Amino acid sequence: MSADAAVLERLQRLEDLEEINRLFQEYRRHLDARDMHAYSQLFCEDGEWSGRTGSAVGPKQIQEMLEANLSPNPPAPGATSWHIVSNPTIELDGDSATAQVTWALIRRGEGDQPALTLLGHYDDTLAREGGRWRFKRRQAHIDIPHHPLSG
Amino acid sequence: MADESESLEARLRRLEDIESIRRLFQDYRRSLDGKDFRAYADLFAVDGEFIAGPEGSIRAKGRDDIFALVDGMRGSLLTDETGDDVHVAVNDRIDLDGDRATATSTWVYVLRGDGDVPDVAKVGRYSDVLTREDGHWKFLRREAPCDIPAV
Repeated sequence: MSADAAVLERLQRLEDLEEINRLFQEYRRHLDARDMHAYSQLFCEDGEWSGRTGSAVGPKQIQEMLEANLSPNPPAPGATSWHIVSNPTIELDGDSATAQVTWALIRRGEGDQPALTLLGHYDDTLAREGGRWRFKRRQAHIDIPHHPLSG
Repeated sequence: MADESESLEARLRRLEDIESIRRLFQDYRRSLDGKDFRAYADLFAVDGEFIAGPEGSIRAKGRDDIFALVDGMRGSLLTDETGDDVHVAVNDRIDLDGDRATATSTWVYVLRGDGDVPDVAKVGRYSDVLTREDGHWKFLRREAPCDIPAV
């Protein structure tokens, strides 16, 4: 490998990590805004989502399932809940990757005070599809309170 | 090839810019929680603006006014003692456009509560316009609305 090719590969690796981190934030942003169409476009054509809300395959089915099952999230001064997405660990392998990410949910609690209601993690498989990183599979686990995913 | 090296340079610059802006967000948090309000004000552009409070009622423009505003929050909107309040800054999403950028992120404000336990007191958003001034990224405008409680 020439020196230039080696530098390009290193640069590409950092860009891939950055793009995947951004994907995690796009996911959070669309989820909290309940823009489930934009959210569904973050998945591969055969991408899978599973969590307490249900499971679905492909952007269209994911959108329909979550629109049917997720409670609305009106902005402040409405109900307003926020996901916190942090602690990403990403393992790149060419055009695919795996990752684990911590998430927490803060809701408007009693007396209009913030309440940390759920804490969990995502187990992800990612793929570069059409030149963009997408979720091949995202499993949303709830760890506190303990709530194991079936299957 | 000249074209290729130019593109390499631009790609590297993009990653560096994102990293510098993330650092700016952490310097902001650190100077704010460290009650170093001069250092805090220096993170703003010369004509930078800070906006918070219900309907943007708390605002200041320019470093001296921003310093005076935040220094005046001590003992009211901020604790008097360093270490009794902490901002947790997460969920950053940055869009670069040359020497300008826009960004959104989430802030969680934690107080040392009764019995010396963490008290998640507030959750809000940052909405930023950033500018490269003398080679350094600065806040041209930072809005910090609070979502919970809905004051």
